Amino acid sequence: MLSGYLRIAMVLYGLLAPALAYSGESFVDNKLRFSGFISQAIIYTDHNNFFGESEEQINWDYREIGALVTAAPTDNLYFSVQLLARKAGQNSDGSIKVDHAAVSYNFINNYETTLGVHAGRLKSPKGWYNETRDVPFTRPSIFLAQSIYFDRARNTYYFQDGVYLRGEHRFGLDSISWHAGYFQPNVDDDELVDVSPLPGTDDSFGNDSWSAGLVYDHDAGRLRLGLSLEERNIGVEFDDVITFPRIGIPGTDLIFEDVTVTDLLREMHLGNQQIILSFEYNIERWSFVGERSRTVVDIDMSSNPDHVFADQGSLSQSIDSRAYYLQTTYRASEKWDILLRYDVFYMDEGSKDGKDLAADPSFNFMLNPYYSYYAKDWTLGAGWHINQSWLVHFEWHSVRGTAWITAADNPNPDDTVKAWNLYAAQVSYRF
Amino acid sequence: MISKRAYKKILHFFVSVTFVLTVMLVGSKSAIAIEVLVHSSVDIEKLSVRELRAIFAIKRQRWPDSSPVTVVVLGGSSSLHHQFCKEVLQLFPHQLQASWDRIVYSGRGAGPVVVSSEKEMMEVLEKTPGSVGYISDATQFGALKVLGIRSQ
Repeated sequence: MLSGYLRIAMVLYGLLAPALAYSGESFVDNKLRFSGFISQAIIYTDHNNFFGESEEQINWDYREIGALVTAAPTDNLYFSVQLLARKAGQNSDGSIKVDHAAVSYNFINNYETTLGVHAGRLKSPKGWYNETRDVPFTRPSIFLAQSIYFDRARNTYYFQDGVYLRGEHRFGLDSISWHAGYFQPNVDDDELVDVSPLPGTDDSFGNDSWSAGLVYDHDAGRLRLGLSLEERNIGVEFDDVITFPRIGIPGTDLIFEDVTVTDLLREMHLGNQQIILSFEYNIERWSFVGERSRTVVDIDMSSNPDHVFADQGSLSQSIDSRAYYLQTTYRASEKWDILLRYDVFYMDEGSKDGKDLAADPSFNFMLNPYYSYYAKDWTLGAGWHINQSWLVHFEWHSVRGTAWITAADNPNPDDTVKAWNLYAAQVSYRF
Repeated sequence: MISKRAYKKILHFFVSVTFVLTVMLVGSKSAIAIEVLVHSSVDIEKLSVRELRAIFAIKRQRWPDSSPVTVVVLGGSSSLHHQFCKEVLQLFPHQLQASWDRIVYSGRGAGPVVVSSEKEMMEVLEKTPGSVGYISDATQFGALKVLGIRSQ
């Protein structure tokens, strides 16, 4: 843990030294700026591990350290680079990664209209929170609604290299902003193994993908309505040589014993089509937020022609995942707010209670419990905005289902429990 | 699904906490008035509170003549900034901050220029065309223009 802090301190120094050498004048002139943040959470669960070993023990394994450098050489050109060291149990190892490295250029920028490009390594601009998901000061709670902002597959499903056309049109107190673009997912092999219906290791890569979005904003965010569309394509080449006692082929009734995945399959394609509808309404002391997501995952597999079932050719299965949450924040005072959220995820709309999926021998040949195919989470939280630099969050989750905990943190499905509670506190500091 | 009894308990807890914190909240308005100032290049005499809120939230980044807006604010611990947010913009400071954070941390644009004193605020406003800031009315406005605020 200490070495992690030391490492980031060194990187921060490297980043900030040139910025510090810059005269104070430049910050005023909007040319070059730097900032950073650091957060540390403690997590305790009565059952199941989340972001590390939290079951009946205090887990210190969740922290975020970020450094942001931005430059605006001209009025219409903007560069932004953020480095992030994130530790979250087995899920993120704390190593330093480029969180985003992007350039924006506006062709048109007047009172009514902005039109420009935004390109580089980016977080997917979907839903209300994804682009800033790892900055504690932008989150209403320690953990975002996991049904839509899965931390379990955060790199693969939320990060990308891409180029977007962006526009905003303003009329009176209203504005409409939109984006449309091309990207390649920033695929993470370990995550894919965790969420894939097939076991073992593989070599995965991002394929051509597209996304678009539209946001209507009234009165500086009093009312916001959003629509996000995304087609995210991921390819997997199986390279596993570990023999499993049992492997089923999703979408078929075929189950094989004592085989490796590569004996059976050559490659797999995951086509994820997602639509998110987003709502936000703010009145003086209250914020109401709701988002609803549908993701259709088409799994296409090609069989290994050397194997006995070669005549199967290509195989496919489709999963229709649904998620929604409703969230309200009450600003009790300048320093305190309270959050209440209900968050629901169904792995497959056709099997909300997970029982049909769990009973499908070829899909669930790993024998995961039925409650691993959904999650319903009541969250009660409090935020303490001590000052501009310090923020403390507390929260309690009462959860039914285990769909968003990782197999890496919970290696034995039989040890997981359907009804569980999670308690967490997080201190965040920025400079 | 959560049991009815547990649900009632959660609701009861939520309502109680909300009530206590509301009672704890004591609004203390000070007598100092605040003036919103713009650089003399800004060709505007009056704005509504809502328009001002959109400008300070960095949602309107251009003046009507399409010249760029530069928002200047006092640092977070400044009591004048708190008073400006609450009394002029009718927002909590952290709400304004959250709207800057969304722009800055998504890598899409810069936040406001942050200064540490009213003296520095005046200096920055005077030398930055298109700038907008605020100051307590006890000070001199120099070459800067005082912006009128309409309540609607």
